[in-house]
Amino acid sequence: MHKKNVRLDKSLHVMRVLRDIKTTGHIKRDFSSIFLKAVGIVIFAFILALSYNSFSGRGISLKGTWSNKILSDSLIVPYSYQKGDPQAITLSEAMMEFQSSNTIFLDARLESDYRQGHIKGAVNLPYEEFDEFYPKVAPKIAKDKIIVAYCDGTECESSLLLARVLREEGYRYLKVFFGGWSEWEKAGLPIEKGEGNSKKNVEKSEKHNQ
Amino acid sequence: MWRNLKSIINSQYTVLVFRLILGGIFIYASLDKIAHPEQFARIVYNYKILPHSLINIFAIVMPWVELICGIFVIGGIFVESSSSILSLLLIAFVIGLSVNFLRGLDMNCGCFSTDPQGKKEGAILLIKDFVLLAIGLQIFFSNSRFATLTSVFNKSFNKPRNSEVVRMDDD
Repeated sequence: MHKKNVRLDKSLHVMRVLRDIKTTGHIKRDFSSIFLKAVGIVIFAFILALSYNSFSGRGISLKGTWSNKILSDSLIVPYSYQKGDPQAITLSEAMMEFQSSNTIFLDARLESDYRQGHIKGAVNLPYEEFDEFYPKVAPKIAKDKIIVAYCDGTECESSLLLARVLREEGYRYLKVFFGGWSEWEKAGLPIEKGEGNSKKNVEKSEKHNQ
Repeated sequence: MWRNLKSIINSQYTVLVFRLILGGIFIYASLDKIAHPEQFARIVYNYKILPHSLINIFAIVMPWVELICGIFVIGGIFVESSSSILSLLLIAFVIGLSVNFLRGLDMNCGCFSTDPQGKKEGAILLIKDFVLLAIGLQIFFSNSRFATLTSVFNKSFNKPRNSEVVRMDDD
């Protein structure tokens, strides 16, 4: 009697599965069990990851410090700014540098951003494409001049990274204006739009000189 | 022709190859991140999507999820669960990449390498992501039991495949 029941149930089940295949094209699956197994896998990964992180010696703290550092009321720098990095300057210091003829502003953003607007007279040297741009830009930035690097604003790091690379190239008088383009534009200071130092532009000016 | 293609994609051998590809790529991608958690956390920070308090924990755990799911997909353990996790991760990567693509942020994707000078090719990465996503979904929906450790275990213990039968039996 009992055995018969089981057999009946089994055949009923087979029929049900066959019906599912006919109607839906494939076997109906138990999505809740798939989901539970997935949760289990993630928990397993969590345990392995946390134990590796605490025992490997290469681990990092569970909660990092990713906020900007505040050096003074008007000077906020990215978290990655360290002691020994090129001097960070405020907006008013940047304005003073802007007046000086011995200072060159260096725009570390991409060429497309530079074209949409930049600090007046700034030279474009995108950090991301340093190797490509540097040979063209190098003649414009003499090593005895004061160089002020900037990018979008305090959230961006490319000005700092650019200044670090330039220091290795032998530039001594490097400063980073972390307020960047956004602070400068907001303050209504002199800006200009237009072409970066793309190949065309350089060629043109060379022809002009000849 | 179309039917032929469909039968090729649905064949158990193709699904096995798909499992090897997807699992292999994720295992490879996870190793450099596990070895360099600090650099990877910096890349996660550069995506500017997660709140600051979650960046490190994400950078610690996510590569391990990739590694374990990669191993499971290749070995054939909980294939459906692990391939669906990998598919969800791929969807998240697609969203993260496109959000920053639209924002105009140009950052290192951190997909395979934590080197900050790594290459940045947004569009190609998105296409690769979509191809992998298609592979992951095909593994999930094919429901193939071919060459999986689960099927090996099931055979050797000769377990009843369906719990419904047992439950009915109790009544």
